[in-house]
Amino acid sequence: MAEKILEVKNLVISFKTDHGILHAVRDVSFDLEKGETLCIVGESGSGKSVTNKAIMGILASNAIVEGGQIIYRGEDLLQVAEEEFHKIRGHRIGMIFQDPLSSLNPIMRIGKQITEATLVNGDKLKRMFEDIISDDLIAYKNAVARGELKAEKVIQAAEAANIDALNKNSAENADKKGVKAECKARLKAAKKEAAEIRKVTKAETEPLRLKLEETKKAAKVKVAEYKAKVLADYKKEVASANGDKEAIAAAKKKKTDNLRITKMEAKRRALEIMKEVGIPEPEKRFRQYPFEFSGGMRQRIVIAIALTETPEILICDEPTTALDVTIQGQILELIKRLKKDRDMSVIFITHDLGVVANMADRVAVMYAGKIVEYGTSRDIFFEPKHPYTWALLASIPDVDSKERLDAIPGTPPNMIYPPKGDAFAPRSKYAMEVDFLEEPPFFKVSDTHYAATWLLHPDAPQVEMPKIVSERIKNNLAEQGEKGGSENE
Amino acid sequence: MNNEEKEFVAASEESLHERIDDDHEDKTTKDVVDIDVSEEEKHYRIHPLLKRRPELIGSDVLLSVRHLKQFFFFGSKINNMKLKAVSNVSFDVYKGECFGIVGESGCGKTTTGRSIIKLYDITSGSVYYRGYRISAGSRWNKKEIKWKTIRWKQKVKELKADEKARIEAIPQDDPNREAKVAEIKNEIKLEIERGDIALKQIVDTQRAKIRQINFDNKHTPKRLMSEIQMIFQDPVDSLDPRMTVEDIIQEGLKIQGFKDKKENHKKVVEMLEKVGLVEEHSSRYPHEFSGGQRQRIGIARALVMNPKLLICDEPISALDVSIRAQVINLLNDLKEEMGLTIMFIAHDLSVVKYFCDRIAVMYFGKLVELTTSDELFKYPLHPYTKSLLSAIPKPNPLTEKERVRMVYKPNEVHDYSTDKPELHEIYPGHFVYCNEKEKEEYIEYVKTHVK
Repeated sequence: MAEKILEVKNLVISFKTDHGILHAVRDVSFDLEKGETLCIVGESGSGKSVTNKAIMGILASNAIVEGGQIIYRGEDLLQVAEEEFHKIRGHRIGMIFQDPLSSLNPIMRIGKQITEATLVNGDKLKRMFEDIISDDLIAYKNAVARGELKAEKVIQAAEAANIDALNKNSAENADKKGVKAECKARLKAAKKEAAEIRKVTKAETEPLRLKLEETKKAAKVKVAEYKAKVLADYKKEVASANGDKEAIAAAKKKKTDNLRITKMEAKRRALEIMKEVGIPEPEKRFRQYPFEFSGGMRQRIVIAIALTETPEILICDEPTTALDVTIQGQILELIKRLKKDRDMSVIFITHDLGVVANMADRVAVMYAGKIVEYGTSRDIFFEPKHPYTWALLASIPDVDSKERLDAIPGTPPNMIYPPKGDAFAPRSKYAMEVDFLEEPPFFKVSDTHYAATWLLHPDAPQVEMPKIVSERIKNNLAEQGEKGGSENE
Repeated sequence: MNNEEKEFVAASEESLHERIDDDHEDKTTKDVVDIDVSEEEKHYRIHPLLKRRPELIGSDVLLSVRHLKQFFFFGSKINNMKLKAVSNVSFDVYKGECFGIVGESGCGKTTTGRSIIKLYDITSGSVYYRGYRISAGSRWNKKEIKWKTIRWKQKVKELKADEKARIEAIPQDDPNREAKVAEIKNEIKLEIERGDIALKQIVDTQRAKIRQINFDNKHTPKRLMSEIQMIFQDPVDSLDPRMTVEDIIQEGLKIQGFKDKKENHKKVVEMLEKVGLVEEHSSRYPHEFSGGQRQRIGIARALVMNPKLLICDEPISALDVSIRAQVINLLNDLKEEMGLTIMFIAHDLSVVKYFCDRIAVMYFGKLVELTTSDELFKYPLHPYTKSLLSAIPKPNPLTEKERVRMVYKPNEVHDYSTDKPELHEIYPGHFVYCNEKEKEEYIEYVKTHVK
């Protein structure tokens, strides 16, 4: 079995909104193996984007991570401090967003946007200094952040309890003033407790802070030494060049290369990457603005920006939804090729099953903040087990037939009031009584294939998948058979 | 536009200008006044002088688009530019069918739909509904006058030069010189006079046409127009957030002069139930609905006018997967129930294939292929259609991973340097945009492959 590169365990994320707590992700677990493509399929609002934003550490400020772990290289990304995340975000995990127009800055030239990251990280002295102090800095910041997190959690818990109490109050029309006073008192107590926690943290982290100061001093000395050495080397070389202009130029270049990445160097790298992602005439394009590009080209630029560093994991959040079929094909081919060339793992979010079939090694189907079924793409497309997967497969118009579509009745649930039991039960015609009462666990279908539906319970009645799906699967398999046959001939 | 596309457009440009004006020759509209006014015309309150194509009235052709051009002009006075969103598109839509238009974004499919219902003033060409012209543009006629005049002036100059040369050619000592000079002068004079008369005729007919076009655009019968309705792409932007659902649906009725409030409310409720909503929804505002429901409101707004032709501009591309099938099924049901003719504009080929009887493929403002949907998928002829079809992702991991996408490069595939392309009928009902040489190739291909 391949190496697991990323592991998401029991992730729970909620959002504070004006209407109450929105439960966006409810207990999601999956893992990503090295070199594979994992497709996450689901409707809008099923929590697929939120999960991936959590991996990137770019959740909105009203998000609450209520539990779970995202383990990358033995580290829990949810516990990592912002300082340390700078080293991961973009460098190790890259992301491509859905709308290529709104993810580019409209008043900045393309070239500047691509080289921005390279130049920001280009000061080698600064990088060196940061590298030396990073361990201590991270230890210190982590300790502080953990304390802060604890304090915040206390306040958040109090706020959540208040919202619940107020909602309850309005429903029962009980004594309003009393409840409000109670809420105020609760919040005050929580704030006091938080202050206490902060004090304790400060005391605890004091030795770490002192250590950090010391390392900083040492680091400054080291960096100064390095700089002096580089300059001394340069002077020596200039002296030994005896007025040879070429030698002096070479020495100068060596000096700047040792100290920082110049704009020229950054541009050279950017042009290389632009060529790699298939942008014709990169020199000319380098100086243009985003509005001068077509949708497909813009998406290529976004991919190029993600690739200026060498990420191990590339998260693609519906990169082709805003594009036409032909351009979509081009972008999918590009992502596939880059994945192969650069040996990346890809998490691909989409709601188009055709794209899934094209890209995926494994598929996770999400509904209402949960993964309802996951397996290899063969498992999902040829032996689907969950009624939602059946419904998805049945509801896409087929090129080969004109029979009536099996539409999914109703709309996705409002996640402020997540349904009890199986979230899909109200829209499913296979729902049983137990579906409305209890949440189904994952049932194992095969080693790679799991589905969360009570239909797989040994006591459940035997249910066949809808006819339209089984026929399509038969047709698809037959198509493959024909193709294989003709190849053999 | 990148270079390839520019070349594609430029290569096929000239043939456009040389096209024959097949606006059906003026059965001088004034005669029509004496003919009995039919029931239909009375019902639709059609102006007797409105231009019509008699052979289409009462026939199967519901909508006929002839040489439709829609240009957009922008830029300053010095640096003025034009965008040819639609150039020279002609097609017929038959009663009861579902006609699909596909193409990439920016190919002019939406503009075509919008031009038909007069959301834009069309630049050139005509749109006939039930045989009556509902919209027309006069740019081509104006250009015709301009160019013919310029050419004739050049011709006159040439003639004058010719005259001078011929007079000089006569030797000075010729005894009959004066007679000869007079003869030549007379000859040229006559020719110029003849040409002037011909030009005047052309200018007069074109001016008459322009007058007719302006007249038609002014007197478009409202009742006829209200039979064509449109469903828009974005269910969020196309509904006024400050109007209740009832007001939104009623608006068209009010404009058409239905003032009875009770009657209107009844119609609104009936429509809401038809599209799967309930009466309580009528007093709510659009933001209270989900995307699928909003699209249903958009459909109800179009259907309350009791349309015969429904133009659907990407009605499902903004919707979620699970909602799409619902809307497709709804449109299918309504089509049968109300006997609608549907023009379906989309870029998702599998949906178009599922929904439509005939499909037109557009590429940069031109119609490149037009045929029945089954045939288009079985025997695509134009290379652009082939590349489009090869790009459809199918939900089948076994074949999908091996799918090879074909790339369409106009200037490599076509050679339009000498022979200009036009829309040709390869075999009955299958039109392809090609030149004579390609036409023969296609016919050959069809003979060998199609049974």
